Amino acid sequence: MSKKTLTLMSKDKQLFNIEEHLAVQSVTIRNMVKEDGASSVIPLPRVDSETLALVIEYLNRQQAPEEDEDYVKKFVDERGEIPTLLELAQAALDLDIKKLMDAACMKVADLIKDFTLEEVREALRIENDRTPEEEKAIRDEFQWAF
Amino acid sequence: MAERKNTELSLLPEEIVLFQILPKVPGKSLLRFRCVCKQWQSFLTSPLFANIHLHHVTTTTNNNNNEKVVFHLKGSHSFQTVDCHEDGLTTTMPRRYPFERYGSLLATPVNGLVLVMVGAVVDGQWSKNMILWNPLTSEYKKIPSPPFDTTRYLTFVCALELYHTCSDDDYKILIITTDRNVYVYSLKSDSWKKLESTLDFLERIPYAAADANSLEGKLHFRTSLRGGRYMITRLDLKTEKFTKIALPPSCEPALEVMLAVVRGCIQLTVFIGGHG
Repeated sequence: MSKKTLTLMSKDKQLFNIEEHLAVQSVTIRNMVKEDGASSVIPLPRVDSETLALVIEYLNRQQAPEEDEDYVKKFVDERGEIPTLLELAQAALDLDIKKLMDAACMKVADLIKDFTLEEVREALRIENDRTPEEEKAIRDEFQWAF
Repeated sequence: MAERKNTELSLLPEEIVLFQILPKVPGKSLLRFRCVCKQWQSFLTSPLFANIHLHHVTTTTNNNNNEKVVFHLKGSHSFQTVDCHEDGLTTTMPRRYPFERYGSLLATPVNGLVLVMVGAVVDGQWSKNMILWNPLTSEYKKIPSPPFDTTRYLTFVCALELYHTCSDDDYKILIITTDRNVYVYSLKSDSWKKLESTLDFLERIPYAAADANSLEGKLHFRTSLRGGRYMITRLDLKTEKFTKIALPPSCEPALEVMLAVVRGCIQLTVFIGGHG
């Protein structure tokens, strides 16, 4: 008997096949399979095809459990661009793949920890709503940390 | 392509950034990040975030929060912190204490909070105060005087511990005095209370040493009895009742017993007397 395969559909309507026993590492997919057998295509309207390809690559990994930790770390290290990591974290959150989400977020935290304030705002698309005076007050209070 | 990704990023739900990424950033960077925007400042200074961050630091081994050591700079009113990395040490610039005058460290720090004794001259009188201090944020809280004669503070106290209780998320200070009274301060209620129920038990203990270790919601005190005998006194932090654990007979008579908690076990180092 051949292994059961599921089809996932990205936001831009691309289809990806994955064996069910690997796909159910995602708690979201596991619950869908449990509920209705998920015979048809599973749509993932918030995940684009590039990110979904990464998620599939991750789910397909063939790692011994004791090497898994290192593998996940290396997996996100090799995709060290913040926009990619954020997309990956978002997809992992939606699909409820905790290890992948934690690793992607840890990598982002690692990258931004030494960023200047301007770099943080740019990387995470945050608008500066502080006046220079307000910023200076915090700088003065925690001078040693700047 | 970078352009396309960037537009999508503005839709990033806050859950990822605020609840998943920021808790993994070290405390020192988070102080700077208060400047990023107003939302970050109010979030980073909220008790909710403090709990999420603490949970991350205490439950993951591979986190960004390096061990920190606080050093008092002798002859000055300043201190500095040292971050211990895998590849060495970095020292931060000296900072002034936010309170009057540094005296001494009173208990093992808990979750980055340090309990110190500070002295100051108030109305021509020398007074001592306990201060619970966060060296990272400079915030501190003066602890009200315990309900006993504090002029003899240090000679009068035979055990003093700072600990965190998970069940009600409170920080507490425990003092056992040389006359066998036990007082507990709760940061939440900002008040001291005397543990009445424990008196009988403690009366039989001639001396409770000041080193205690927390394990699974209980504080363990190394307790010395007469004639080179020791035992462990255990305080259940939830019920606030003392119990005792006898040492194996092979530990007697001991010259000295040291107690530590290593990987979820109580570890005793016993120096047996006799042949050196």
